[in-house]
Amino acid sequence: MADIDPATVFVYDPAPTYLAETTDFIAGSAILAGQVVAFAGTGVAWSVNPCNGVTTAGVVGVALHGAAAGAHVAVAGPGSVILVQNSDDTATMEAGDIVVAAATAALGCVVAEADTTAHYQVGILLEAMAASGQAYALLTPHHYINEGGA
Amino acid sequence: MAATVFAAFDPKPLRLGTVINFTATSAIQRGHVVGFAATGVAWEVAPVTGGTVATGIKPIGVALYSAAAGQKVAVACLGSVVKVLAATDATIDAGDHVIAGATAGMVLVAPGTDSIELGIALGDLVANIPNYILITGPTYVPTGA
Repeated sequence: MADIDPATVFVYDPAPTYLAETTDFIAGSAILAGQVVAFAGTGVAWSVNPCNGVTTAGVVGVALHGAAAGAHVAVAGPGSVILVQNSDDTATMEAGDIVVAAATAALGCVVAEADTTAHYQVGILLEAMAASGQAYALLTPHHYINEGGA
Repeated sequence: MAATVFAAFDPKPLRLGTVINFTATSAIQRGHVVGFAATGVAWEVAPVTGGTVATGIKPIGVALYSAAAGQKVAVACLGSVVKVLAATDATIDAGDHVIAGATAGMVLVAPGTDSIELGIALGDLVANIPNYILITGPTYVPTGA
């Protein structure tokens, strides 16, 4: 069980089947299409980064295209139905799994909520997700799962 | 409290947020709260029972019309304002967060245990009379234990 390599896997079109709230942000660091993005732990106005569930804070959605640091990036937000990326090369997930920002080196990915530590929710999977794969999710971000009461 | 018997009703959406086209794995009546089974199947939903984390059930929205098993069904999801039915004769107050209830397709007030919330009641829900909720989930809500 290992983190996937974002530079390898994030070459896909997140292919939204439905776009709900979509917001224009500024990339605080380089963003790849399909990455889950979030404010930095110490937030900067309108600035988002690929999430890692640790140094980033509130998740806002999924980047619709790549953007260099300082460039504008359109982010699909709550209510959107869009592909998200598994953070792991062996773990699989199934339809109905609540997914959260993965606290891994694999930036911009998701992992199944494990009921153990605090996370930022990303959404709910609408189909199975293969190891290293992508799957459609209904995005339900802006929700902090304070597991453990920390 | 005794469970209310579900009878199909028009959820009368005041606002439709995201609407997703699923396949019914069992018979669904309009107004049912539907979701994924504990072992989820892609794009397939059924009336859900129990919204605590222990059940593994994942409610996702409210069926806009009835569907037999195997048929397509449009489900009002996040951002929708639709009517649902309370699963017990106990009143659910406006402002209460709700989960899938103990009776399939209905809702209960979110408990003090880990749960998957579906939304927030916009009016009081009394026995046998559907009322509106705003669908804000599903959101995983731990107790902090």
